[in-house]
Amino acid sequence: MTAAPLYRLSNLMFRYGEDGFALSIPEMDIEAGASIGLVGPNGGGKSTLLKLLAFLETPQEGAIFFQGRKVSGAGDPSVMRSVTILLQEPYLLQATVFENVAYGLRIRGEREGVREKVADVLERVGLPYGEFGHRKWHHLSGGEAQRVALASRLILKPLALLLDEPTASVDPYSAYRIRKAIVDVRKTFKTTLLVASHDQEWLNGSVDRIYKVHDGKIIGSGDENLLPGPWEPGPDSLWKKVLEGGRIIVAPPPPHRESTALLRGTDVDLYVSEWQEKTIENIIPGVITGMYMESFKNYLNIYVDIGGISILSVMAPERADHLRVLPGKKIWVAFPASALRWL
Amino acid sequence: MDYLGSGFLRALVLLFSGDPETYSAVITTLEISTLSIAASLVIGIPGGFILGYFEFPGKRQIRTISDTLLALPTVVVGLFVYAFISRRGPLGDFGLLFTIPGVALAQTLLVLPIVVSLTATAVESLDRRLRLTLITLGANARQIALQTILEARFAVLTAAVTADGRGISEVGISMMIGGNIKWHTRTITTAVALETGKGEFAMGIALGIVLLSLALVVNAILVTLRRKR
Repeated sequence: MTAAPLYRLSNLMFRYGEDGFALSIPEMDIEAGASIGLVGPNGGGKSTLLKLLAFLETPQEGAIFFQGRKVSGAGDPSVMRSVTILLQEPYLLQATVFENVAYGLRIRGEREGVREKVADVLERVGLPYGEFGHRKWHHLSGGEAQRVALASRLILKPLALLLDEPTASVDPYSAYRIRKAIVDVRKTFKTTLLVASHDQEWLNGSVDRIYKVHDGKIIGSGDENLLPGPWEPGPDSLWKKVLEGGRIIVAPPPPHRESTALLRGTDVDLYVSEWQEKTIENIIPGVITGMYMESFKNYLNIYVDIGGISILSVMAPERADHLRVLPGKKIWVAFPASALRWL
Repeated sequence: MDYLGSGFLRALVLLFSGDPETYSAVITTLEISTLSIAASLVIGIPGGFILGYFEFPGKRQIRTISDTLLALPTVVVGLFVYAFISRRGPLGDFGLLFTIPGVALAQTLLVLPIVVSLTATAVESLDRRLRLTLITLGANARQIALQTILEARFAVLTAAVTADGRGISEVGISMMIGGNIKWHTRTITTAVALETGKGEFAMGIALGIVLLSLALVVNAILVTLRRKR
């Protein structure tokens, strides 16, 4: 018999207000020890999903099982103390760094070795105890405050650590320390990690798997392009989206003018010249703006700007080597209209 | 204007020679304000916290009443309390009229709305993220409430100082309930009113200096505490 996953979401439906934004997840398992990133546009549902998993919000329909047990609303203290979330803009208590980090232990009645534990987690986030332990909350930079907030949660050794945009407003060094700390803590304590972030490159180095959350749904594993409308009728009963500079993307007829199309990065090829191939409707010139290796897949992510929008192409390093892709190089992105799926 | 200058000089003599009549008024003032502040904080901080922290029916109405009472005229409180504690009043048997506890009771009623309203505002204006943060760190309802009041501590302290300022500077209640009895219920403010009426500026100025110094000391303490935070 296999152990129950840490989280099991079943027919989950959460809605803000009567007909406000809704998040719906038919089925989702999160294994203990998993490390998952959530990407997607603002307002897509990443934060809502994290709040549901932290039991700060209660779904109107469906259920969340934690360690095989159904959790109804916020209320079960043992579950609440096994999960912790670092919200987008963390709040520090009006006290010293030490008191902030020790707070969670204090309310759990822990008295032994508190100083050592605080020093240990502060070390993990790159804030030496001697220098920062007695600093007041208002004598910290944004990045330092974020790391103190993270340390306050690491000290609890949670089963699940949920982070909402942990690097949204911090300096690069803090972003690096935060990544190091969470990768580290997962190795040491087998903590299950869920991280929502806009910074896909940062995320790639921090987690094992990425889900894309869009319009209240989990729509894929993160290597998808989202092409929003408006679309207009184009040639040969196909539709088109006009980009800056007059370039167009050709698509099959959309359900609505404003529909969003999904294009998998693996369906996007790159050509070094304007290759003529009848079966591929979209061959669009652009400039490579960035590229990086996915740490957990042996693939290269290449971003190409094709006039106001960035297209992700995912390919094997050998192919990229063959094409001699380099940032700044002019290149053609190629994908058939049939590769677009409507959301 | 010579009488002001000479009054000021004689005031300093009264203060530095430890004039018993002057110091009697000072001590009476401190006794009354200590009692009334203590009572108003003991009732007002929990009251203000409940009003600012919880949602319950009638909350807005209570808040409106409390805010209105911030501008309570001292003579109205004096009249009201007088009616209750005078021999004919329902609390007449306690013999509170013309006593220090009587004045303290009326002053408590005067400053209580200040403590309640300012504490409620302090709790309400705390960052919304505080509650969520405490929940995510595993705090239970009691621990959240306790930490909330701790987070509001500087604003609550300001409420206490404001209330204290209102208490020591009022004259209506002290006059009506205390009766301005020499060596007994004469406070700084009633003494200044009386001495000025008699044309005795020296004692009035001396007591005025003490009153200002008291306000200064209390505010200096507040500023120091704030800077240390």
